[in-house]
Amino acid sequence: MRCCREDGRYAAGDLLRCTWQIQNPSDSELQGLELSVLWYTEGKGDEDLTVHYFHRWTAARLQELNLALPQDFETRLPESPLSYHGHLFRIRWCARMRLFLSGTANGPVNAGGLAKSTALGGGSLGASGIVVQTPFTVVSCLEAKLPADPVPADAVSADATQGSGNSKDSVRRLLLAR
Amino acid sequence: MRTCDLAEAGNVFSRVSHPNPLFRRELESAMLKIPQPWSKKRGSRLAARLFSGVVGEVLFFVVLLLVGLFGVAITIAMLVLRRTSAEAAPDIVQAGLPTWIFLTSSMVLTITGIGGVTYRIMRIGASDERRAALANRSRRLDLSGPMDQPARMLPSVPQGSDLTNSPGIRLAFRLPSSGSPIAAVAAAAILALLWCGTWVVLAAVAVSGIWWGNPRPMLTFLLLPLGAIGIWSARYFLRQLRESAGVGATIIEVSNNPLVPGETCRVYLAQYGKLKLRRLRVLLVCEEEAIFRQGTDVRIDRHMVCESVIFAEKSVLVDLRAPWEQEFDMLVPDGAMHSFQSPHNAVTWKIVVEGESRPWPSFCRSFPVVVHPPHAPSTKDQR
Repeated sequence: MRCCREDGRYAAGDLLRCTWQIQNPSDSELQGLELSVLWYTEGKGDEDLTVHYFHRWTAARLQELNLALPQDFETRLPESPLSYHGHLFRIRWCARMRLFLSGTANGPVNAGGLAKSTALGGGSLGASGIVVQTPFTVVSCLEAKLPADPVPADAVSADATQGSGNSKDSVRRLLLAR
Repeated sequence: MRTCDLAEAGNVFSRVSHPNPLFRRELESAMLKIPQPWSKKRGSRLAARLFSGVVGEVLFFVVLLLVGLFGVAITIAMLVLRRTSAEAAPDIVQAGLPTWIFLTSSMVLTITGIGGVTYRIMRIGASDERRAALANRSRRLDLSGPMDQPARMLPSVPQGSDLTNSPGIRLAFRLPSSGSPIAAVAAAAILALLWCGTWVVLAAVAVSGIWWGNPRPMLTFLLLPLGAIGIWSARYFLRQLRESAGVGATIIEVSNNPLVPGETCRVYLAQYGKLKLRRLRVLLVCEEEAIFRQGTDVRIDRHMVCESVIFAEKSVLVDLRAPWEQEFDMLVPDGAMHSFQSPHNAVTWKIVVEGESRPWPSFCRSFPVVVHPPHAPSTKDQR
C-alpha cells in the first residue's frame, strides 16, 4: 500500500490517493477486505479513533477484482485534525488495509512478512486478519508550503510496531528516516 | 515438556526455575495475570484479558435476560391463574400494585439483557475501523438541518458557540469565565448554614435540659468540637464571600473569535472591585488533556504546552467608582496546534488573568477560547 506522495505530507483539504496491491492473492482464502483512512490518538490517554474514509469488499466482490493489479482509491482529507506530536498524546493519520483470511485463527499465515492481527492482540475483537498501515502527516496549508522536516524515527517506529500490525511501507519509511 | 514446581505458582512474586527462558517468561506472565479481587489494580490498565472481559459481560447480560424472562413468565402465569380463579370465584382480589411493579422490573431486566447481549455480540467480528465508520455514519444523519454545517467543516475542533453568543461593549465578543465564584460561595454558605443551624438546635436541647434539671453531659461535651467545626465553616464562607465580593468581576473581550495561529487579536480587560494589586498578568495558555483508566479509576492528566504573557503590570489600583481597563494586542503563536476535542484527548486554549493582591487573596480566572487551524474555511463570526 502506497500513498501518492513520497514524503507523506498532505495539507488539510488535499486529495489523498493510495495505491494497493496484493501479491500472490489466493481467492479461496480471501474473506473480505477493508480500506480506511483514519486518524487515531496514542499516548497517555485512551485511544480515540475516527475513520474519514471506509470501504469494504466482501469475498464475492473481491472475486470480481484483479487483485494482482494495482488498485487505487482517493479521498479528500478534512480540514482537521492536523497531525500532532504532543507531550501527553499524538494524533496520527494513516491509510489502513485490513485483509480477512479464512483459517487465520488456527494457524500462522504466510503473507509475505506482513503481520497477522489476531482476534485479541490487535484490539479488534474477533476480527482476525492482516493489517497493512501506511502513515502520513496532515499539516496546515502554511506548513505544507515549507520544506518537509525529516520524519522522526520514533514516530515511524511507533507506526511500524503498532499492535495491529506493521507494513513494508512503514519499514521502508523507517529505513529512509535513518 | 518439563514440569515446574506448581507449589510456587500460588505466589505471584515467586520466580520460576526453568532452563528455557521463553517458557519461564510465558509462565511468569501467566502467573502475574491472576487477578486478586482484594487488591487495588495499579499500573496496568486492564488486569484481566480482553476476551475474559467480553465473555464476562455477555454472561452477565445473559443472566439478566434469563432472570427477566423468568420474572415475566411467572408473573403472566400468576395473572392468568388469578383470572381463571376469579371467573370461578369472583370474590378473589385482582392483581395489585406489587404484581405490576414486579412485571415492570422483569421487563426492564429482559430489555437490558437483550440490549446488552446484542451490543456485545455486534462488537465481535467487526474491525475497529468498521465500527468507527458505522458510528460516523449514524452521526452524520442530518437531524438538525443546515445549522450543523460549519461545525462539520472542522471535525474534532470545538465549535465554541458559547464563546460567540455574548457581544462585548468595547470589542466584538465577551468571553465567559470557566469557573464561576458564585458556585463556591453558595456551597460554602449552604455548608455553614446547615452546620451552624444544627449546632444551634443541639445547643437549645442541651440548655433546655440543664434548665429543666435533666442535663445531657454527652451532648454538652459534643457541642464543643461541633462548634469548632461550625466556626471553621463560617470563616470559610466569609473568606469565599470576601474573595468574590472584594475582588470583583473580571471581563475579557476579544475582537476575533475563533483565533488563528500567527494572527493578532485585540483584547480588552476590565477589572472591577476595590483592591490594590501587586501584580496583574494576562496569559495565553495552551494545555493538553488526557483521560485514561488506571485500574478501576478514571484519571485526567493535564500538561501545559505553552504559556505566553500577553500583558503584565505591577501596582494596579482598582477603584470602586470605575473599573480598571486596559486594551492590548494578543498574538497567537505561529505553528501552534489548533483546539482539539475527542472523547479521551483534548488540546484547549484559554486566556488566564492572574492577580496578586493584599489584603484580598490572590485570584486566577480562566476564559476559554477556540483556536482554528490556519487558513481553514472561514467560519469566523465577524462583527
